[in-house]
Amino acid sequence: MADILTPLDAEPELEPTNTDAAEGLVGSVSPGRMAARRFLHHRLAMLSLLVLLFVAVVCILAPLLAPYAENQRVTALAKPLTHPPSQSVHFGTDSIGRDLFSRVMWGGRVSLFIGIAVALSSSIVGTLVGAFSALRGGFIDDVLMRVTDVFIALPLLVFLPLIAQLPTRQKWAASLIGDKGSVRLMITVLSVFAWMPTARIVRGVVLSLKEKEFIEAARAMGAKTRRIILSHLIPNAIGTIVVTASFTVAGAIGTEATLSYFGFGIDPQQASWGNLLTDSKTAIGAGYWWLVLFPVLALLVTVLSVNFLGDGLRDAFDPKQGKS
Amino acid sequence: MFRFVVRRMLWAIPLLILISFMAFSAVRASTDPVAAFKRANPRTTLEQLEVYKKEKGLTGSIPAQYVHWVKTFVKGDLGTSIKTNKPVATDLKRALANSVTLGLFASSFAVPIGLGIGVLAAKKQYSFFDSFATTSAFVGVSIPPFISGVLLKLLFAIGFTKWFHLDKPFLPTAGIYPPGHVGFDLVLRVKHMILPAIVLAIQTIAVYSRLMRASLLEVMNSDYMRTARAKGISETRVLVKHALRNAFIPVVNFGALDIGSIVGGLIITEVIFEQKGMGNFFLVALANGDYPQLMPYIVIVVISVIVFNLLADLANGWLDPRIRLG
Amino acid sequence: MSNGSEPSTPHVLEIRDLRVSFPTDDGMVQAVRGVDLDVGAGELVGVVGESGSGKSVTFLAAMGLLPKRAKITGSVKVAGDELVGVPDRQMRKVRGKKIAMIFQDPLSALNPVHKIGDQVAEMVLAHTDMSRSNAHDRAIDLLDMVGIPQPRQRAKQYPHEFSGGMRQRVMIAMGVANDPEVLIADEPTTALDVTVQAQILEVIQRVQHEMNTAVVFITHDLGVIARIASRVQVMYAGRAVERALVDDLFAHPAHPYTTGLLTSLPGRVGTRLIPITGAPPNMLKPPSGCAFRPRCAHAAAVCAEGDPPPLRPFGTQETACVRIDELTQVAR
Repeated sequence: MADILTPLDAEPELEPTNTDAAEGLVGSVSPGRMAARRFLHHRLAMLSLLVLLFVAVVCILAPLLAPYAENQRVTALAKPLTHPPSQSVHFGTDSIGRDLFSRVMWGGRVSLFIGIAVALSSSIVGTLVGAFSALRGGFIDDVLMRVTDVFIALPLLVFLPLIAQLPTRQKWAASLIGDKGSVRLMITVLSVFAWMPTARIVRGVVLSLKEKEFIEAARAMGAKTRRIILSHLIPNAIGTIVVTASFTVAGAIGTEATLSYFGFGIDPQQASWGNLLTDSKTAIGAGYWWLVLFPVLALLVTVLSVNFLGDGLRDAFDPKQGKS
Repeated sequence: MFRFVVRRMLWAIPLLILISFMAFSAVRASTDPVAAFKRANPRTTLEQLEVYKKEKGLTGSIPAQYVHWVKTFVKGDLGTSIKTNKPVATDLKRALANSVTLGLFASSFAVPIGLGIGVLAAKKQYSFFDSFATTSAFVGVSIPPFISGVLLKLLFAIGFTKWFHLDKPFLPTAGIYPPGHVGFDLVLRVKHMILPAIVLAIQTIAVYSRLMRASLLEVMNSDYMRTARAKGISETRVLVKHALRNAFIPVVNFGALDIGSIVGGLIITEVIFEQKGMGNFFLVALANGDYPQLMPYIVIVVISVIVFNLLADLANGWLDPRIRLG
Repeated sequence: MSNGSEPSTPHVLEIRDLRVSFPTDDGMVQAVRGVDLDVGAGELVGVVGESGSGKSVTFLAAMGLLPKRAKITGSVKVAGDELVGVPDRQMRKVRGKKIAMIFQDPLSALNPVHKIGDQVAEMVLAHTDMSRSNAHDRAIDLLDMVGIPQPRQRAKQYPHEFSGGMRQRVMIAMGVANDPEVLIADEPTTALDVTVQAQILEVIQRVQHEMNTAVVFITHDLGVIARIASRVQVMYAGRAVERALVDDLFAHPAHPYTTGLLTSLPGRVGTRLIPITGAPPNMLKPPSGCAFRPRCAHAAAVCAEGDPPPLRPFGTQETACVRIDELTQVAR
């Protein structure tokens, strides 16, 4: 149930449709309460932004900041190698004595990179498809939208692992989209299933903009369709695209983690937050709680922050007041 | 209405063939049943391999293989697992039963709760309840089930046991029965379903409450609500016959697809809590390259996707006359 | 209060000093600032104004259809029953029975998932004890009365299967289903083609005459008023600025705003369109004195003083312009 990669649906616009009675008044409450709600919302988004920046900086600077290399065994450790958190190893060590603190940083680098890359590529593809579909209309629009619907309905976790396996068996795939377990493959595979919501949303925006007068005016002045798109439609839709992209980042990070956890993601040699958890079952069984807690917390904090930030962006981009 | 149904069903059939073929090709391309067979039976000779290949229809072009496979599938012969040599059908049936049980159990309380919260939040828009419900739902949807699942498992397997000095976990975190248990025991079964059901419920309640709330708010701001009130009918009637009747349309649409996805297995939750359902079935088969197990799974999933898509379409058409006739 | 515009029968609708305000983010918006109106049975009164003049809010308030946070003071009496401050349970008995309202956009005003026949029947069932099938028959009769062809078949159809004009007829049928004393028509023809407009106006007039219903016709279109109304009330910034018989209004408007409205209408070929400069005032902080002052070519110091001016008799008309005597002197 509930798909991981689908960005959260945009709240429907609360358009006042009745006449003068409701101009800007629908949904208004005492001024104090409205202001309080918006402030709180912003505070959450601001906090998330700070948290995210902190996490991102720490992870990106892993080569400089991490006490140990990715697969380096912590020296001067007594056997057994798995240690709970202590002063020298803040997050503890894993079964082969690697410092978890460092690995979380290294893993974060990979996970964050994947998240952003997927969001970027899927936004671009989605925007192009959506805009093209809306502008062309007619049969092409119908077909594209049906395809989009089908893609959305497909169970992600069934087809993703399948496609993730593809490069092992088919050499042509490997050179095109990356080897099994590589970051490139993960980005490609995730992007293939992440563009649809953006396409849908952009198509909606373009369709509504299509009717607006200034497009007519531009066309009356003889502008070509492509120019019209680039100069008018995209700037208007950019807000929605950015919001969707931010939710996609969160979704991608989560899905990558899930796939890696199952072993269909990033190769274990390269740490990612997901594959740090691959052995969580045995870890829990043996009581090594730190091996599970810290990667999960890192994921939780990051995913939540990105989502809150996206929500804050959505509020910021929406010109209408009183959106709940 | 009848014509609408027929039209939709006609669409479904070519779609079914297309998608199952795509899935078939994807599976064939991604797995190597011959290699898997060799792994399971290390001493087969080349000739025996050829025979095996011919038997299972693994030779020839992809479309030909697809046709061969369809023929055997339709006859009801699902083949035997490469790894375990047991017939696929029995395992598949059990896995399906487990998934459906878990999914329906979780949905049976999560969906009504989610809908109820959504309706209340919409009615009391901007109240504290609404803010709380909206934020909680947002958080619920933001947390990937994978994370909440692992966290819960950690909490119950290690956390509570340690903090409260219990000698065994407060709630079971793995399997559908304690190891070694035979037979049917309702209490035990339910106990083992609680944690995975909670993980599912978090997502479900969050999603349904948001959807219901958004849909109801949009409806409540419509002009026809004002007309309904202008008629002087009772508030209950206004809410039920006018508001909810319209607001439910997108919810039912979503719900049909959502329930349908249970068939594919609630993969994450099942793996984390070792629930031996369809999800588990699939991952194990994939890891083993167990082609005879993979294909029926894929086909069932595809069929259910299409069937439930169709059901959603039909429900839409039934509930919303604009779609039926427009 | 009203003179030359006395209807011959007792008033079925009496509005006295109606005031409506809403809390918003930026403060209290005063949408309606003291409106009076009397309408007699079988009379069709036009209420004219721009968006934001408060013309719709006035009657939504009368019907009790405004959100709970709206503050409503004053008096609205329908057939002698006071409606302001009445609890919703009681109001529901009156709404749709004694006083009914039809709205501007019939497509969005009709529930898309219910059949037309059911929607009309619902109105009947809400206020009578009829059985379902009787109510349904009555609905078909009503559809027939408003001029919908093949009413029995069409009653089984859905709103989107009707044209705009047909839908508005359905709304009218719903509005008069229980033979109300007063029918409020809020811009019923604004969203329709000109040709269809004429048909709808005809239906409304028929209802007015055959059922002796008092009709309040809200619009911004003076042309429509000229055709069907007997009296007109012009509203601006939440107050009435002029009230007169239709002929009087068109012949000699007694308020600069009315004059402005008339001259901004496309007139005979060759006459110029003179729009009214400026914009309606901010209803958060309405100006003192006459609200039209900033846009009025004849504004003087006296116009800014004190409370918004009330309607005073002026010949057979009533006007809120304090300088009207001087202005007409000058004109003559």
